Amino acid sequence: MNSKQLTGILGEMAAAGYLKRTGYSILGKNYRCIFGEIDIIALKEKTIHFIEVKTRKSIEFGEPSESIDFFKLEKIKKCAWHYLFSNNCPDHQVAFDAVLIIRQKNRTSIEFIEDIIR
Amino acid sequence: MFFKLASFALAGIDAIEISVEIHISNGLPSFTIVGLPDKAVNESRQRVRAAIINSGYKFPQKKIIVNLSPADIKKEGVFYDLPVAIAIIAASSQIPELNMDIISKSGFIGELSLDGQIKPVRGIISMAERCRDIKNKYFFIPGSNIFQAQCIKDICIVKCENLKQILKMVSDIDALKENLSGHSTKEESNCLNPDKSYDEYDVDFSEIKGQLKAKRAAEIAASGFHNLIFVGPPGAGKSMLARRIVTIMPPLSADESIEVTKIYSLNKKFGENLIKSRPFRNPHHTVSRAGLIGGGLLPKPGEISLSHRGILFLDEFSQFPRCLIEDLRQPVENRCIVISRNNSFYNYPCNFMLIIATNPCNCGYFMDNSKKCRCSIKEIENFWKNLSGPVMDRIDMRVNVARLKDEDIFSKTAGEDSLTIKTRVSDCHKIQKIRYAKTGTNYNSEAGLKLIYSWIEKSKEIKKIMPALFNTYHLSGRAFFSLIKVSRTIADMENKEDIETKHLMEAINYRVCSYNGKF
Repeated sequence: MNSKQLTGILGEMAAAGYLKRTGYSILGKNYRCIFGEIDIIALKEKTIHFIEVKTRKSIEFGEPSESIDFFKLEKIKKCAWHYLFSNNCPDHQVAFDAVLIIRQKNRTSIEFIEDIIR
Repeated sequence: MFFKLASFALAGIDAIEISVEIHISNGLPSFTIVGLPDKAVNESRQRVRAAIINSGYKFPQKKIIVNLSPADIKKEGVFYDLPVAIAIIAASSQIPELNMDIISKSGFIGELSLDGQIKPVRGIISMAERCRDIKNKYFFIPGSNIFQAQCIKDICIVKCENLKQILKMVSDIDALKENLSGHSTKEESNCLNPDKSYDEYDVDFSEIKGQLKAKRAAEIAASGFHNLIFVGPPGAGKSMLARRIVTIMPPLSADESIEVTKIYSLNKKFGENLIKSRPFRNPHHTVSRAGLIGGGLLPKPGEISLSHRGILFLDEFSQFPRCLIEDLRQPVENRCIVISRNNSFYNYPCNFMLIIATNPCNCGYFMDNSKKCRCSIKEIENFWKNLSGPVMDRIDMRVNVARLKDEDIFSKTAGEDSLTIKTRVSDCHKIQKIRYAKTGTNYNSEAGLKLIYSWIEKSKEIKKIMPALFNTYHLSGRAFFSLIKVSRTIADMENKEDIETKHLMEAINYRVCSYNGKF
């Protein structure tokens, strides 16, 4: 495991912790299919949330939110379709969110963004 | 959850009913508009979303499908922002006491700004008329469109300033009644009063010296809505005369005003008021075909429709391309233009008074009193050839405008001013109004054949001399009828019951223009 992967995994763990604290129950992590990967799938109030986690160690190369572009969103959408159909619930209420984490030396900031698609 | 409201789309001058249907369901969040939307309609998704959030409501994180039905008609413009926003809020159960009675009897139209304010749209009169015709009770429109919409009777026009206010109105009938624009309000009676004089022109007939015959012709043309051509050397005052004809015409009647505003509001946003003064359009001779006749990718009314109930003045007529001149044949005769396209056709009215100004030849001094013409006979022939015969046949009056003599130009006596002439013209219009009451026509130039024959029957003098005139001047059938129509107008100006010989003689004087028998 290289340091980039480590950053990602640490970020996802932090995000999962944050979501649990705010009332989400985690349905799955790192859901992989042929279309790509969804970092966290969580349930809150009868809505399935597909959550993309983005972690950066510094904002020197841009905010984490800037790296989620149109193509990434399309990937997430397709993965979500895959998840919903393979779990037999295509008509469930669905939301797409993102957790943006900046891990700097002395402090970590976590930002939760709702409804990133549209 | 399903929800439905009524809205309108423009098809030519008329509006058609569009029902905005919405379905909100679970599934991947998306917001789709179907029913042949164009770019502006599709972009309304972003405006609607922002407006809903900024008005303090929640935008549902669900699968939203909007259908604009009938789905095979192309939808263009920003009309559907407001109905879509209301439908989304209503379908996601965010209006607790929604009054379905109001919703089912209403039409909605409006562009949304991102903060939820409602902005004016075009074509509001056509839509209000349609809304009335399909027996809707209320019509919710943007506040700044109110003056135009008010002129449509028998429908409650509700003016809306922002999304929040309108959502209160659809649930509370009392709040709705507060915002109804009553037909008895002061602003409205002002706005529809056609007798108020609008002397907004900065030109006046008294500025014209001499040219008595041309002035007389202008007055006759204005009185009966006859087409008119001025021929003369440069600087004689052709354009000057033409520009002043609109100043002697009475302002539009209430009905005419609605018709004209309807056309103008299609072209761009006339958010504020009704148009009350007669249109005067003076297109340059480089005007495109679509610009003159109407048309374009999304068909819009052209200059001939914009001069509806007013004057279309074609200055330097000989410079207009031949094809444009020929295009005028049918509109001048039919008083409406149908623009046919692949999947639809658009009907625009164009009942205008055509005024043409042209030189008699390329150098401009053919038949001039003092200056010598430098054109060869061949050149003059070619020049007149370009002025299409069929179009010329449709011109009721031809007038030579000669250059002024020194005693005219230095004379101190001013001619009659526009206001005096205008009172005479409007008296003449009143006579015609009584004659044509309850028929489709308004002026002598539009009179039907039946009526024309009855005029000839009534007057023995005319009956006697007409055949001789017909043969002497080689008149066409149309020319003959237009001759009678012009004489009728001249008789009306003298308030005579029947056409007399002198009226006919004056009319034929305008019909026959010398220029070596060129036309």
